[in-house]
Amino acid sequence: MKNYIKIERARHNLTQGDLAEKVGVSRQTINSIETKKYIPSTVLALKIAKVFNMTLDALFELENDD
Amino acid sequence: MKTNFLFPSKFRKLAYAILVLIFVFIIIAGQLNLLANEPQIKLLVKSILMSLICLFLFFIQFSKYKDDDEMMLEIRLRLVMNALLSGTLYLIISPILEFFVFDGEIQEIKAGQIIMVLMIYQILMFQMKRYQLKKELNEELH
Repeated sequence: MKNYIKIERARHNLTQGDLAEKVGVSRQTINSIETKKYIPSTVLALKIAKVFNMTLDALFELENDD
Repeated sequence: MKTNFLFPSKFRKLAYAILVLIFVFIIIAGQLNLLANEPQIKLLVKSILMSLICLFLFFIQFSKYKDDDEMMLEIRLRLVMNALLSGTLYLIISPILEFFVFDGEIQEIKAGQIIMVLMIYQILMFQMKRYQLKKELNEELH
């Protein structure tokens, strides 16, 4: 699953640590999501979207192999 | 996401206390020559030791770390599943190998032994995964 977290994080001037703290997970988890190694739960995806004031489908996108 | 099935991190200290107890128990058993005694006492000593080791490994594996979140929970659950699968395969393959390949008598597999091996497998794999994640994070930062 493709996501635009890294871009949005840069736009909002947030570090991985800042975002991790805001949504209550570790930095490793944010890094793994950004590098597409981990697909977040719906709750976590919604929390991240809320931080950037975006909808889920604007932040996450299904790929052909999903 | 709440990781309710994990023990608080304090339980890791309890695990280390159990480890100390294991060493004390081994020293006392050695001093009193308990393993050379009659089979019933030998069996009792081995059972107590096995239970303490299993308890130690259990608390080590299922105590919370600071970075325990939903991703770590998923890793833990995947490892439990892998361990269960490996244990089942071992139970099936081991007697076949002993009988056909090694021409030996089929040995009874004790539950304590298999639980111990599965716990050690989970602990090692989990620590490896944590190390790998931290390494990846550091590489990303540099």
